[in-house]
Amino acid sequence: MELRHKKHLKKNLLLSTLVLFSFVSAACSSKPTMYRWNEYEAITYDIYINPGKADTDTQIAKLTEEIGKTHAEGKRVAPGLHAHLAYMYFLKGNTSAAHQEFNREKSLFPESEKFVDGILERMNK
Amino acid sequence: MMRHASHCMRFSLLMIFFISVSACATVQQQDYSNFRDHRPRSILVLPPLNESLEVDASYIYLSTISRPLAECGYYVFPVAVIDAFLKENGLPTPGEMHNIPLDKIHNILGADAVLYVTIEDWGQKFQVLSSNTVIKARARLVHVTSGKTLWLDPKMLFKDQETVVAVWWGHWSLPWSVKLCPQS
Repeated sequence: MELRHKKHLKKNLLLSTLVLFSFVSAACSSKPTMYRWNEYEAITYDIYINPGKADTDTQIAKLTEEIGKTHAEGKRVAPGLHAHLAYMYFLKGNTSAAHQEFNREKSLFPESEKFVDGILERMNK
Repeated sequence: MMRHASHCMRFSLLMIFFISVSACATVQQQDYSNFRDHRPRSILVLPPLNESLEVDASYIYLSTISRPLAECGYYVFPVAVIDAFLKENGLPTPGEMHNIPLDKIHNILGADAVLYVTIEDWGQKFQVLSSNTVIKARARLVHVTSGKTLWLDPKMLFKDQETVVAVWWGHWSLPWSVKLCPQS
């Protein structure tokens, strides 16, 4: 019984910590992250919710700037970001830039290999 | 300033998620044996099914999900690119995307696991700390090559489904998720 009580207390403590963390997040100062997310997340949101703010050129400009800032801060570019940028280049007809960005995604994240190789193959057809 | 406000808004949304989770004190024990046996390196997140009245629910949710998974160390496929790719290939809705056979996902994308989310409610009234935006969702993480469920439908985690808010996003941070997110 006592053990169960202890477990319960532990759970409550953890939940309280989560709530506390939520307030920290609310103050717009989230805990340090491995990746920089700002524009990639914002663009993903805008594509669907504010499509007027997310035309292809705007996305390319913002994501390119984001990559620069990410490197300047010594963080890692988020998984998917290079592939997203590559897709934008592809939509603009800039296949060489698209290739380059897809290959960056693959070299940073080998887990994307099959996905990226498949897209590159279809692009070359 | 506008951008800051928009970020603030999104963080507030996340905060609401966390608050929602804090109400979920009735979590049951999860079985992690499948997860341990087939621990994924990459996760394909499909646009959620939407059973709520908020038309944008699926894609608002989709835009928030990469960060917590990626920060846990998983490769998360680019959600918007995947969405566009599937739409171009004749699957215009999340419902159709959720029906893609696993062997196709394996052959074309090479994902280790797929996350299927269904949003049940969005924007209900909720009395904790006077927040009035809540999300009720259920989700399933499925191992692509074996078809096994690695992580169970969270709806099952809650004893009182009527009053307790279930948000998959926040479940990642619950005590048992230490096993899913060892880096945190």
